[in-house]
Amino acid sequence: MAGKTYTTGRKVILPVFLLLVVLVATASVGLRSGTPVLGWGALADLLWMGGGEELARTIVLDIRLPRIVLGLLVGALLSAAGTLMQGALNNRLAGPELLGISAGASFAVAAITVLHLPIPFHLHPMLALAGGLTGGGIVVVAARGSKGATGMLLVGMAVSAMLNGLLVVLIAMGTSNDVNLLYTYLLGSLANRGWEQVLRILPWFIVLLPLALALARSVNLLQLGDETASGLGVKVDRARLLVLIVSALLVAVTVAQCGPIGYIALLAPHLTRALTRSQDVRLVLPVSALCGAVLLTAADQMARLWLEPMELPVGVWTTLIGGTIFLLYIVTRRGGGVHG
Amino acid sequence: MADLRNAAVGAPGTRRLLWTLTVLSLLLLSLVFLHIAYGRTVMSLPEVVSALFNWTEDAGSRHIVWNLRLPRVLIAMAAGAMLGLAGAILQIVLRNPLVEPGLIGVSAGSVLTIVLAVQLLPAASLSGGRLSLLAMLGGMLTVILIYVLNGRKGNSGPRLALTGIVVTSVLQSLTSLLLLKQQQGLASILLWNFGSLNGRVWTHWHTLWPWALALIVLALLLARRAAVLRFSDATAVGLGLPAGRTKLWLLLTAAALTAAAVSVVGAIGFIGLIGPHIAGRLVGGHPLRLFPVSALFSAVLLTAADWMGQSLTLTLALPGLEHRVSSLPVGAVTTLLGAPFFLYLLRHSLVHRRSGGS
Repeated sequence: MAGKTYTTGRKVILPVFLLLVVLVATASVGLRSGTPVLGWGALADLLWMGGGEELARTIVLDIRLPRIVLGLLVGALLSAAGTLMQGALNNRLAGPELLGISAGASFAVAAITVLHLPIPFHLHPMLALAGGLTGGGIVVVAARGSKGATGMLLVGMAVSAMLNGLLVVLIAMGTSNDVNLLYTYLLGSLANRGWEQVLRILPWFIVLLPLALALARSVNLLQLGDETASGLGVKVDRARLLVLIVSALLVAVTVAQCGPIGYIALLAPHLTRALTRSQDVRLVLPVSALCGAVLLTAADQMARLWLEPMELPVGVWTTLIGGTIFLLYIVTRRGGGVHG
Repeated sequence: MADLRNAAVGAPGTRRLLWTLTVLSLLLLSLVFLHIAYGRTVMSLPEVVSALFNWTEDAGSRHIVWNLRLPRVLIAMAAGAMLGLAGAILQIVLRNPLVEPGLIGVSAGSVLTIVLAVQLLPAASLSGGRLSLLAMLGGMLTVILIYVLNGRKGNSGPRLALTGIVVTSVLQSLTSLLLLKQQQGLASILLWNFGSLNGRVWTHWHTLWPWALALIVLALLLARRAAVLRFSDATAVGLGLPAGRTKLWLLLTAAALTAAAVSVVGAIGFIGLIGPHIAGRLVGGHPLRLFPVSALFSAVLLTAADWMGQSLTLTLALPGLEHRVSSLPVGAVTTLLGAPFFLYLLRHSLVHRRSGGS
């Protein structure tokens, strides 16, 4: 047992270290760049010594910093959801954006906003959850009986298309010409968020991430396939349902604040499994949460800084880059693999 | 060839085809009147007829009918027919019931080239016709890309569809990126990524109709050759028919049809999926019958969808939606109709595949 712990430890240390380095680099670049650009010295002074001008302090501490923190939280939640789903469905192509969950949650939140429904902010995640579960539920029911991974994905995409159609109906009819709604509910964006959003998401983060970790063991068993898992005494259907509900909740919480940001949940677990060369969910889950946090923050800084002073919603970038990677992945996968 | 032809234009089939075409034409005609009559200003049938034939002195109703509603209806018909035909061709060539121009990325590719061209090239060099040509280039490149990506691993239905959908979403995000970078409004984003007939006028029709005419005729002429593709490639070779070249011609025609339509109305989805399938139910799968009925039925579908979108905008009263300025993009309506249909086909194909495979 001691030997096992040792190798597990070694597997994790290097990737985690790497990710932390990228994280610190991204965060510091993110904090100093923009308008105005701060020198490194000025940034350090501002952060640690409490110096700097009033305006610069406000910009860094109340605009740039919360955005980075929010990106980290959202990325971590999304990747945790992706890891759980890929394990529970035993399907490496699964992700909330492909299974109708993101679209359902997004539709629910958009409906509240566009129709001005009188619902307090702290209840938004619950409605997003209801929407997400409805979307995901339709997919699971409609995909029943089809065995391949591809089938379920296509069903998910059809359901997402339908929900997005409804969303467009809502937006097209509800507003004069508000692109921001589209940004938020169709593409996903971290722009114009502050500590308020961080505080709304933080309690969920504190509750849900340990909950996800607690489920890791049963996901490990589900990964072995239904027959093996039930042979080992797992109530397969119940365990899977529980895991899926928790993942839907993880996604719903993020969608309620930032809209559906695509492909982070799908790709972070893959990247993590490749980095750690492990399939053990207990190990992959925390590392992939970190990985997703870093990926999303990096993507968001790119979205913010590349075309400065203009910025494009981060969801567009993640779909563009993540979608391309995903495409290469499904194309290069060995022939029959996609069906099984 | 002779027996193929007999099979195609055999007596019972022909009669059924003629009936179907007649009924669909009548349906289309009545939809046109309905569409013209019903809008923000509701007109009676005699009013529509007298305005159409310039019998009326009322300049207002003539303006509404001639300048606003007639071009829109004509464009809906032409675009619907083109997308439906493209869908029928793709389904036959790729031997896959789950494909249509919007789902395998042809529409998205065309849209991307248009948006790119508008951004990069000087406005003067982009008359409507040239824009359509560029769109065709984009559409054809996407078809080739999909064909290559799918490779020789076999065109298994769901796999090709998945590749196509992911390509579509990547191309769409590029389009959104460009549009957002140009700070375009909601209307233009909805137009290009979902497809819309809002504000289409005569200039758009003048761009569209030559392409529509030429390409629809071309596609119908290719129908007899397409019949070959219903057999396996080996059989076609045995009959001495050039299956490969036929496929290429058909694919290019489908891409051109899609691109020409899309360059005017945006990436309207799912029309090319529903139309051909129902046409197939009505007259069977032989291209000589399938192609014209697909075109006509899809024209009916798109006109109906646009009419539904408009009336929905006018009648649906939701809280908070008092400030609506434009009617629903027709692409949203076709998606709402088409996605469940796709789901149904998908289930059918998955279950069928499973029982056939094991």
